Amino acid sequence: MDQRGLVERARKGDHDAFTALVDLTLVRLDAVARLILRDPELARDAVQDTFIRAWRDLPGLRDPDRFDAWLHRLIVHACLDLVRRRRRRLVEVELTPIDLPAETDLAGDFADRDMLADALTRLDPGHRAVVVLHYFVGLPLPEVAAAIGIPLGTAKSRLHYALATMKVAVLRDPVPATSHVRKGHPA
Amino acid sequence: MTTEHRFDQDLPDLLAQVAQAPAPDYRDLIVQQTARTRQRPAWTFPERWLPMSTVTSRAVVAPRFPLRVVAVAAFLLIVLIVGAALLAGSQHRLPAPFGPARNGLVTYASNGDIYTVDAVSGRSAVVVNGPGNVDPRWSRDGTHLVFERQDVVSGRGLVYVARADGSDPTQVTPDSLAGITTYSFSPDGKDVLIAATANGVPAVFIAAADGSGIRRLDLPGRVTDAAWRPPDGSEILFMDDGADSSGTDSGIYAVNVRDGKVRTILKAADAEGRFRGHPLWSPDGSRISFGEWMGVGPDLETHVITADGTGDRVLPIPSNGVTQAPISLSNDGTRLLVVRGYPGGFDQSRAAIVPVDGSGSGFEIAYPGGFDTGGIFDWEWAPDDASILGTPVDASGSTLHQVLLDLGTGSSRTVPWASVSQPSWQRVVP
Repeated sequence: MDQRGLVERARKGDHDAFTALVDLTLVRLDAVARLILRDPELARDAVQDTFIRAWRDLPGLRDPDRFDAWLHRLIVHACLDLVRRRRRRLVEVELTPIDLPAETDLAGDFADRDMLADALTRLDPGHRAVVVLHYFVGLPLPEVAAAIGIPLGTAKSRLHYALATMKVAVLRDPVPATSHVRKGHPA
Repeated sequence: MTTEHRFDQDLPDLLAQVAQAPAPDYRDLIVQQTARTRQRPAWTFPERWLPMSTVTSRAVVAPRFPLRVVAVAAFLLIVLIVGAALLAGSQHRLPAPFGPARNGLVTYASNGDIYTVDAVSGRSAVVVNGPGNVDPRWSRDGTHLVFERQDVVSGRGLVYVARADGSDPTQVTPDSLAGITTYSFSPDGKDVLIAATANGVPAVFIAAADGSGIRRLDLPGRVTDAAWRPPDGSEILFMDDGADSSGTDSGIYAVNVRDGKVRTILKAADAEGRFRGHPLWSPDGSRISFGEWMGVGPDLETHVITADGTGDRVLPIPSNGVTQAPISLSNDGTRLLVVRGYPGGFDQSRAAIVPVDGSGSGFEIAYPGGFDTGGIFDWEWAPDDASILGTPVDASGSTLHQVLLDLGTGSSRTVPWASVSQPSWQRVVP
């Protein structure tokens, strides 16, 4: 059964269909939340909140084809709400060493990844959300704006500011290739 | 990553690398949690979950004056009364807190500033500059505004009261509050009911509109839909969904603002599989309308009861309709805006105006793409009851610009001002 069919069944209370939707989307939402929050524990909370809310409010989703967009909106709001509620400064994510294929396990790639991770921490979560939805999820800017609940112009200006900030961080503060694993700590 | 050009090109791949991690190990937990959670009809979005326990009465001070002071005060009082009588003709009167009134200005927030706008001409003006100001609401007499000033980073907010022209802004919450969800003036405008979070726990506060103090209402259970009872605000209505915050409200209660005593209007019926939501006071405080549904199925009805919970009446719905959810009562208390659902999904939902006395199924208003709403605070009747101002949401739940439902023509149109905040319309004496 395709995703639309699963959404329609879940909307009518079929929890097995919803479980299938969880399996289809969990990894992506987890990644989105970790990129926005830069904290795996907070990300886990945000993803759990998102799925509980999605199940509870699914009968209110009028268009099954908008399920992905709706989920993105829920995860972004869950992330930003967590940041507000916790009143804590963001922590940098603890990057788990990755078993990359040998041909990609190059010092230069690690350096790029670490520089980007550093650059992301220089943005606030609202700006990170725009970058993540646009470049990681691949949403066009109008959909990014709708997902976050901001005007299109604001989304554009946030993206412009975020890219400029990250470029400055990356191009001026190169990170040694050997320091690719950072430990989480309060900023 | 040595050039800006490569940075833009590589960003998607680099983000994917940064996001790489072992598969989430909490999938089963999510499945268990959602299996324990009950689904709700679309119109019952959570608005306020407000645990409260006792109402702490404000201390009443009864100062004693020496006789000479009393005599002087009596003289001054006479002078004031005479002065007030002389000035009465030259001062504009205020509207009654409830019942129809003349339309004044609409207030809204945009980009952190607060505006007022003439709904006819569309001319708007900033009355309070930002940043961070959101969701202004008028007092019942139209003389003051209450709004939240949010800290963009923490999300915490302070509640302010200002005059209608934005002057004399007064901070009524001594400390910032987290998760402020709603606030409303008491009928006499002297207090503001605030739903927020305190130390991580949802709570309801009553703040003096002049900034002189704030107290917390604290009732047992998880409470939602707190609202002043018209016409005098002597009680605050609330609902309690039990302990699981699943959104399955059922019981309807009222707490006496002065002594903190709670009375049950309708007992919780979760055990019977009946759930309720969106309670609304009639403008005279004599009746309450609410929605009631059974489980997940499309069986939502709108009920009207008296303030003591008796006289339950179900408002009629066309034979092919399946749901009817109450949204907002007219100022004269005779008509109710409802969301009416038909077979075919939410694209088929429509706005309808139904008589509260149950004498008919009313009439529907053309609204393209299906009529949906985030909650009872998203739609408000104009003071003259000729139209309804609302902030709709789209299929994905995103808030859209405000629209006006014209009850004369049965049509809807987007308003000329760009607002996505909750609607609030100033009441002016007819």
